[in-house]
Amino acid sequence: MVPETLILQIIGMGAVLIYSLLGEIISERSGIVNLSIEGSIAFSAATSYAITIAYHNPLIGLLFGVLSGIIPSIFMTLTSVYMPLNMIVSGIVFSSIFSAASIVVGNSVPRLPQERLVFINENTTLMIIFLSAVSSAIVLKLFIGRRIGLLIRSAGEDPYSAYSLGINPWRIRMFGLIFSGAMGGLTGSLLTLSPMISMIWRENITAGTGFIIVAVTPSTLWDPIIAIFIGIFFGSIPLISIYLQTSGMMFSAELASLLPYLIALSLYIIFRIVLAKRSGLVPRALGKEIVLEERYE
Amino acid sequence: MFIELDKINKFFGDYKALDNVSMYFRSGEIVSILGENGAGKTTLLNIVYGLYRPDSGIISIDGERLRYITPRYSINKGIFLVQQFPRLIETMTGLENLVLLLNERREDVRKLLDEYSDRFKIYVDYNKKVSDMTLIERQKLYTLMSLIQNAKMILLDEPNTLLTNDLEYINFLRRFSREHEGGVVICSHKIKAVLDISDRIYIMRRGRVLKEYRSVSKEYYDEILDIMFGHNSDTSTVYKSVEKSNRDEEISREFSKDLFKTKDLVVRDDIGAIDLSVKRGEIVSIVTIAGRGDKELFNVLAGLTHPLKGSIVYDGEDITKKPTYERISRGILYIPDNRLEIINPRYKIRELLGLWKINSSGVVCIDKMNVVYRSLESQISELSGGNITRLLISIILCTKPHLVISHNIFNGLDQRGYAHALKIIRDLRQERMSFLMILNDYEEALEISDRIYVLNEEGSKEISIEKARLEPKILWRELVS
Amino acid sequence: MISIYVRRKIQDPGVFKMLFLSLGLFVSIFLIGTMIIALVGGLGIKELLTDVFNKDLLLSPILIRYTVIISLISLALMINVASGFTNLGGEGQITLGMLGLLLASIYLPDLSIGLVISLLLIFIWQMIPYILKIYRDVSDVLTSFIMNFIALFMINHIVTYVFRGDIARPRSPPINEKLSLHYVSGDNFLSLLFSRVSIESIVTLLIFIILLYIVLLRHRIGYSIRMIGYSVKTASLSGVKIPIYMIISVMISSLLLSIASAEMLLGGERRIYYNDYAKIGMSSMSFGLGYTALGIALLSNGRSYLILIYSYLLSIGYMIVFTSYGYFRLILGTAVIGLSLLSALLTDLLLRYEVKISWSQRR
Repeated sequence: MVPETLILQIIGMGAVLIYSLLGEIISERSGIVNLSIEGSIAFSAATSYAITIAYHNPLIGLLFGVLSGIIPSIFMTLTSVYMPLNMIVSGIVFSSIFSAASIVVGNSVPRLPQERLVFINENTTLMIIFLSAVSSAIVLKLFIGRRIGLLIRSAGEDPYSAYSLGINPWRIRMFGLIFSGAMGGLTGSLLTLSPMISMIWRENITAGTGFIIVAVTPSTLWDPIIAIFIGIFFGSIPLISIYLQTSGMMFSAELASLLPYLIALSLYIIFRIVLAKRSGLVPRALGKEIVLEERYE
Repeated sequence: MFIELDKINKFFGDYKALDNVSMYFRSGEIVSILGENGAGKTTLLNIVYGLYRPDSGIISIDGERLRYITPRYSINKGIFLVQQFPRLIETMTGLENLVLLLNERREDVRKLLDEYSDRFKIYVDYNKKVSDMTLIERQKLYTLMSLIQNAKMILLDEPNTLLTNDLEYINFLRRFSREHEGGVVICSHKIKAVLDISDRIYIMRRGRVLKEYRSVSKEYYDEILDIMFGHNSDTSTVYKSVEKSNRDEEISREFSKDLFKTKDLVVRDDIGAIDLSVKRGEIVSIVTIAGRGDKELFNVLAGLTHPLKGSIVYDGEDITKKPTYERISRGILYIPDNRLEIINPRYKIRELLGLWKINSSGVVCIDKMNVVYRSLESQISELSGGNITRLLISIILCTKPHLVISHNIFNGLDQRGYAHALKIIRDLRQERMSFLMILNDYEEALEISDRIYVLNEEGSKEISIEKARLEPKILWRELVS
Repeated sequence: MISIYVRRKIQDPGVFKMLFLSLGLFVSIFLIGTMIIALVGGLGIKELLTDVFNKDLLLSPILIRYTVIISLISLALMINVASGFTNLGGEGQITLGMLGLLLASIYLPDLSIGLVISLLLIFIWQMIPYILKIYRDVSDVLTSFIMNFIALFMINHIVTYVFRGDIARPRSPPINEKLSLHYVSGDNFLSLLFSRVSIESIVTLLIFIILLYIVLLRHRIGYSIRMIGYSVKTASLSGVKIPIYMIISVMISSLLLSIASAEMLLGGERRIYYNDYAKIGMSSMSFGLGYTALGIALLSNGRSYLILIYSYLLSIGYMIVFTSYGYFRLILGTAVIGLSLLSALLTDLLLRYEVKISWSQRR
């Protein structure tokens, strides 16, 4: 493999992951663990594929992909923001329902190779996607320092105090969720539209990317800049395992698909344990639903 | 500004917290709401500010009739609630909290803060993190925030220490109502402090408004006391007599060797070493300001967290590294500040007794403590806060531990329950049971303890109880130093 | 403006209220959901109804077999939930249990040893997320969920490379013939209903339904376990020996799961297959039961006898899935998992919270 294409591939796959990592970072800063991002990714992958096939226009496909990524987030908003249902379980609920829906949508069009997103040529397109991911990370980093960042943090740190300060923490969490849904939609659409990955949609195309994203978010310390590196690292894992397989080691495709889960899980556990000792880094109300009028609390 | 409450009702489950409450507040006067714990004062203020929603009734604000209000609405109208534990975002600085509220740049907010501090003579260090602030600082910061936001009505929930110790703040409240035509509503159970400052007084008991005084005079003290605790009951006299007998009572005990001892215990970076000892049959209390190491100290004593330094010795054995359940099996019982941390409200009373290995004879203890309950099958969440404290004390009665380590053990008790609990604890001391109490209220500490420690930044310090009883101000000075 | 206002109820609901509400929601959400997907997917509703809801199928031996299996798994997860461990890893744990039984049968063809080994594997897989949760406050749901994937891919690896079976359809060799469970035989009424499920499973199920009812709701062991589930801090302040009760609860849960996996392996095709979509549910060895059973465990709220009813309903759902075919089966199966968990969550919400929807602030 030529090193140049290797780097391009890593960057391309990394950029795809960075988008949903950024979305997850924002929603976790507002206190919501958005596990339905897996549903967003799967559903938007299918819709953007179907729309692109139907209209022969990848840009329209991308647009619809992003919009359809928001749908699972809207359901999550109902259940876990405006009602106090367990976030993680309802995330899995909507992940599985929208994975099912994605199979319906994806099979509604003939299985053909679709047109890809191409600006100028494939390599430039990859670079553009990557650079836009990096720049959106930087923009987010800047926003986090300003008042809007404080607002988002207030919903994730102490929604009750935020409420009594006259802030609407539900609306902030809704915003966080919808943002992460849209970013998940972007990731999903790019899974088939981006030049370096497969052109054909298939049932298991996400391979649990959303779950991995949720698991690695603590290791970004909820910082968009670190998310760039984490994204690139996870983008390179599939290539690492291809390298390991071709180098003749006893390393099966099954172990290769196990690898990201294993790394994500260990990163998650390690960072949760390390961060638990350092207060101020983990949003205090992360994963906690808002219920007013607790009599004993 | 004119706020009128019309027949407000509020339920918590079956419990009626507010029962047809009608009141009005207006600009230019200081109104006080007096009542014992659980009278519904705080619930009422929360409804006026919009944290709770009433189940029925109408709130009208300047003629606008509403079913409920939200904090955003009341902030826009200029109504502010200074809570007992002000709800600020702890991980941010005071300034950042204000930036959130005001939607302006940091520099402008800083200028505003300085300007208003000077104008109203309330000074707070707003660059500190809120978690490092004392309760009083938080309350003052919150007051400043509301002034910057053009407050027309300030609601104060149990500002007890501010009222009894802070002349500056009292003067501010007077000026605010006279010169700036603002309204002030104070909820409290400190009758004397309230009589000094109010223009009008409401008295509440068990969710009802019992009486309204349109003019205030110091002579009402005894009458108010009677109404607050019920005309027909003898609680107020019981309370007074307990207060008296306590001073006279002196029991001679032989203090042999220490049952419980801490050596150079450090629980938080910014708090000095804690050295204390408890002997058999002794009641020892440590007085702290809420949030200044009291929770951390309790957690370390209970073995929930490890101390940064130092050791704990119990009965001649070092138990610093022992897990909580081993300490409990050696005869220590722990009662934390937050009752939810010792009792699961979803348990039935029968299940709680089973967990504590109390057999059916445990009912005797519960009845001895006058716990009001329907049956053993009823859920603990049905009990009121005071009843839960009684239930906990009856667990002490049943399990007969050697040492009880508690944090604000009298939480939620009304005066009658308090007097009763005092008596029970004294009786248990006679049976050579020891008590180590972490208390935030120094008056309670003075009343019950044999020995008293004060915990401040420099660490723990023993204060002579006789001196402190004669002049409680010593304690206060030590606390804030 | 519309506003949704939620507050916690003070009292727990009565058993009957709980039962009716949850059953109603369970059936309605479940049926509506599958119908919608059936309509979108194009399968005739008429066929669906006649296939599944004809008289024989409602009490067929297959239905009873799945009711028993789902009940066993739900009981196992129920005690996990009671002890504060929201175990979403049932999927991987069951499959690991099957693997343990299969591996043991190769070297030591004895059922009890096989069961012990599968129990141990499940025990380890449950203990890791549980310990992390209790002592380090790491989210148990997420950890146990991701450990599913690790288990399933590991099994895929073993099936493909260790057993080196068929390349077109990788699978393990069949389990040793000497290992088998006992079944009701003969031409009596019992065999009409229970011919497809082993006596061992039925007996274990009945014993544990009674035992867990007594232990969880009437005994100090249960009070302690549930106290850990409520809050670790409260449990330690109440003098509960946390490590011991953690082990007890995980032990019971692993035992039930290992019996369930033995039933699934020995009463089914007696082999382990490659899990096609190790993603969610349907084409793995355990049909996503690890997820759906969690819904039942949450619904039953510590009352073991309710599990039988919910499991029966869920098995009907699974019958719908099994009568469909192709990718359509995948859709239905995935949706069934989601919908059953959703109905559990919604019931929980309606039972424990008051939901007020108000249209206007003004009067």
